[in-house]
Amino acid sequence: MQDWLTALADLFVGNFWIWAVIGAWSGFIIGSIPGLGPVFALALAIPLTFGMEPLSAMILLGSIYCGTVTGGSVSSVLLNIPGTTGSIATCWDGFSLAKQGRAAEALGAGIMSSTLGTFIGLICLAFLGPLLGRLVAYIGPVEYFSLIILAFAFVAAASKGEAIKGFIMGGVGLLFAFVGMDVITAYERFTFGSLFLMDGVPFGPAVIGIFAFSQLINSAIKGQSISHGEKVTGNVLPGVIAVFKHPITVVKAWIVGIIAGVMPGLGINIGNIMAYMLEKNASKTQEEKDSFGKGNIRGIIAPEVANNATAYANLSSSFALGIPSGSSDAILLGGLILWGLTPGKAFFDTSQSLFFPTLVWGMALAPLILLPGLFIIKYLAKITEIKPYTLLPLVTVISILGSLSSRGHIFDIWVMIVFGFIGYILDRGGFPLSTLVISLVLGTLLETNMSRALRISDGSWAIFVQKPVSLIVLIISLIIVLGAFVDLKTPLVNFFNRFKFMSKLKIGK
Amino acid sequence: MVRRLWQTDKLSLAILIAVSIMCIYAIVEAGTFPVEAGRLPRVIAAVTLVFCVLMLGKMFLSPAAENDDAAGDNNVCGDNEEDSNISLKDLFINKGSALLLGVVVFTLLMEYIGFIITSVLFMVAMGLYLGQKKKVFNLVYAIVCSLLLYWIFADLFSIPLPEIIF
Repeated sequence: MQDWLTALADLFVGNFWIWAVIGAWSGFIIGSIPGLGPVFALALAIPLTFGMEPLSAMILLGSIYCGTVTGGSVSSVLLNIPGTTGSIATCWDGFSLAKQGRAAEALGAGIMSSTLGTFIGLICLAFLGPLLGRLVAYIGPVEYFSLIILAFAFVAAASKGEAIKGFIMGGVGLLFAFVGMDVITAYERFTFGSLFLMDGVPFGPAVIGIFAFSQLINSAIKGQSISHGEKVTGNVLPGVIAVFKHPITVVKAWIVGIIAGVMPGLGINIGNIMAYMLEKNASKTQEEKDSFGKGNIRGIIAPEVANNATAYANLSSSFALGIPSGSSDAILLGGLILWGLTPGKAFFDTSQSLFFPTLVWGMALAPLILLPGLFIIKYLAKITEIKPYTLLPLVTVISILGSLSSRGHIFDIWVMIVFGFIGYILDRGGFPLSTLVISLVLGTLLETNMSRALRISDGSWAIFVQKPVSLIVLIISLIIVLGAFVDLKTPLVNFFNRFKFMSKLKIGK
Repeated sequence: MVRRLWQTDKLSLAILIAVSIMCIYAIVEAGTFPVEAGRLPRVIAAVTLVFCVLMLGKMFLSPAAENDDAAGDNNVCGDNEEDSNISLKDLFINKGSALLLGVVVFTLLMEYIGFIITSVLFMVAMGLYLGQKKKVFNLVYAIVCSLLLYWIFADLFSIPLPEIIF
């Protein structure tokens, strides 16, 4: 209690507010620029914190982190370009709403959902962090491998249209993920002799190409503004209210976000897509399911709640175990070490003077971003009314710069062009791009854990069914895959209806 | 039947053939890797190839491939709102391809004449091509946007952008 009170007292220190405001707003703006996510912002800010006291530095970096994750939804909705990798799923319904002239509503829902996600992520960090961190330590490569298989099955089966297309795109994404040096043997694969591909297909330019550049090609063909001539309503309130009208969606996304957050390696890029797919699969009717990707507000709420919850839940396992869950966590942990603090379990026990203020400031930062954000985004939404001959060349140049900014190589622009063309063709053919991207993210993780597990078992594949958790997860994955091709519900209902007492329950009617 | 299928859903067919070729290449190439490095790529490529064959089989056995009357009315594998029976001409010869070509030229030129000049040229050319009537506004807009972007990325974020080399 004493720690909380001390941390609350820090809220009255003016200097801290300056860092919080600078960090939150610069983070929000950087997050809304395609290609510049939390990693970019944190990497730039770390050198600035060398001369600062640890608490000021943590407040600055924490506010930047919070701002970038929240700001990621802006370009997802307005331009169909994920501001951060945690906003990929937000594009699917956010941009569809923007095309209907409802960009402000989508942005309102996005920013409100992000704020709720931040709160729950912080609560998770405060109360569950040390406990979950210890639990995660019991999950080994075997269980990770199975969980990733489950993620694949889940995403591919929920693909728009036929599941078989989802599985094909999953395979293609994985093959792209295998490009570069093998993480275990360091053997060069599918690089065609290019040094630029040694580290694999650069994720940022590939995502910008698949989602943004392909969309720009489509926009050029159609020759319409993003809102298709519809006037933007300019009212964020319906979006904000919609978030509170879907409490179940929010709770489910929180849970998914936290699960994705506490597992090292998954992170916001997986959490937001998983939350989206869960929400889509929970649809009661086919018509409702089909509305996802065409402007369903729940398709914004779920990923935005999840990505902010994941971002903070990520920190709980990172701080507790000292193992970063992603690049941005790695930068934050690097900062801790630079300031003379020890990450790991000791961070919660001995560094309370820093841990609790971090939480309190996180809570304070959420409304700091929400309130001005709600005011300004209705003006940002007007972007969707701009004619394509004005907007399209500018967004194309921003996409090019977004691709270039990740590593500074011209080669990355070529990656964007190639993936943009692939994305355009696949989209026209009705193949789901989301499965392609999630496979690109998970490929390395899948292979690393598989190789580690096989090394443990001396090359025996039986290890994946010998561990109970892994076996259960694999059985669930198999059911999901089979369910995508075969109608499992009818025979199950018939089976249970053989029993009179089950018939009375009217299962399946 | 193949000809009929090509007439009804040529884009899906072309994509599946391309993916199948990619999978066969991956299987052959991964065969030359050490066991640990080539194991998963081979498995994934083989599984993907099986799915492609299943999809192709499904397309061949679908009514659209067997029924001439259905040709053109039925998108066999598509849930896509777009017509996947689009002609190759419509698919590749359009304003989107011009944008693609513009970005290719942009990338090639940027290394020699720097970001600012390339960006101004690209934005002016694309603006005019896409229907901008106000030429002076188009030029001023291109210059202001290019300079602003240069300032944000190069000066503010210290991302090195290509400069003119002469």
